[in-house]
Amino acid sequence: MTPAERKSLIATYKAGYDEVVRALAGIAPDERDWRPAPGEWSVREVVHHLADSETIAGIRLRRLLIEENPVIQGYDEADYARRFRYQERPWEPALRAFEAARATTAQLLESMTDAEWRRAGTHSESGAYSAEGWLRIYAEHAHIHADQIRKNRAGWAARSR
Amino acid sequence: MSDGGQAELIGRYRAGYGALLAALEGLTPAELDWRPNAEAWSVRDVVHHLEDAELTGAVRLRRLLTEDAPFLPAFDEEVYRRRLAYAARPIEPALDAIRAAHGTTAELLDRLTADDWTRTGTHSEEGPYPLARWLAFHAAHTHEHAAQIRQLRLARIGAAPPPAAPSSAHGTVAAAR
Repeated sequence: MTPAERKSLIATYKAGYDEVVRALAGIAPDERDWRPAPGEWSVREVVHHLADSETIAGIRLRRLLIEENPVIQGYDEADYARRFRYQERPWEPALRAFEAARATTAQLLESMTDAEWRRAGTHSESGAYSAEGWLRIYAEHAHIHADQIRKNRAGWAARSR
Repeated sequence: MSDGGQAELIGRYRAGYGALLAALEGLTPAELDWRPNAEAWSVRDVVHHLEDAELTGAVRLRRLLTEDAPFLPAFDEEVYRRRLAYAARPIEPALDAIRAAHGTTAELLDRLTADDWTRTGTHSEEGPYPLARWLAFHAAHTHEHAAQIRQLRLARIGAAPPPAAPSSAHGTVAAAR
């Protein structure tokens, strides 16, 4: 990965929170909890997923920077959604957690050296896991879920018409 | 909640961020970066330590609740402090992260079932790490560091050179504040 690619991905990462906020603009209470199909997430569940995922991502990056070849434990996001009752919990604290995890982690990304970008660990399910690989995943993670939120809202609008 | 002790600890956990803010009230830029000696932590270091420790704690709790006997790697706070450049980073994002990690994690603590309280993992240095141990540690942790911040602020007053012309016996302390 070239420094220019990294710079571009870091900019995408830093824009992720605002992208989600734009996707949520003007959302009605009923829209938050509507599921497109059984087993698919509501917007509320997506927001809680972002809070947990981005908190875990922040710790993963820190461990890649600190530990020698850390084991990065995979997690079952659907299990998290059920066990942690995403559908029942208010989403404002989750939005704050998502925003804050990205803000503190962005501070670290901006000062990482070439040697730090090459640091790596092992993911319990997907194997080799480098700091650059981390950046590829999380640069676009919030944008992917912002698109999911927009699709949910379009589906909700079509259904209630 | 079957045991009043747990409810009390959860309340203490929830109050941690407020205690931290109270300890930081009126902090000046000079106080933020003062350290008693070259190796000791500044207030800024303490806040960044809390950010990393409480985010780590939030993830550990989620792992204890979802994985069977997770292995929880230790957290070397001195290495974190140096490698993650605590002394060079603004503290506002860290404060937001502490508040947010406590906010979402307290929601989970409020919803724990009797079965959840039987869950346990293994800490790489401390060994068996049941959920009750997580709570005992994190209920106290932010409060302990709030007290450390208060002590640092007092120590700085004690270490400050006397003002050029104290006007009374109380002049030194008043001027340093």
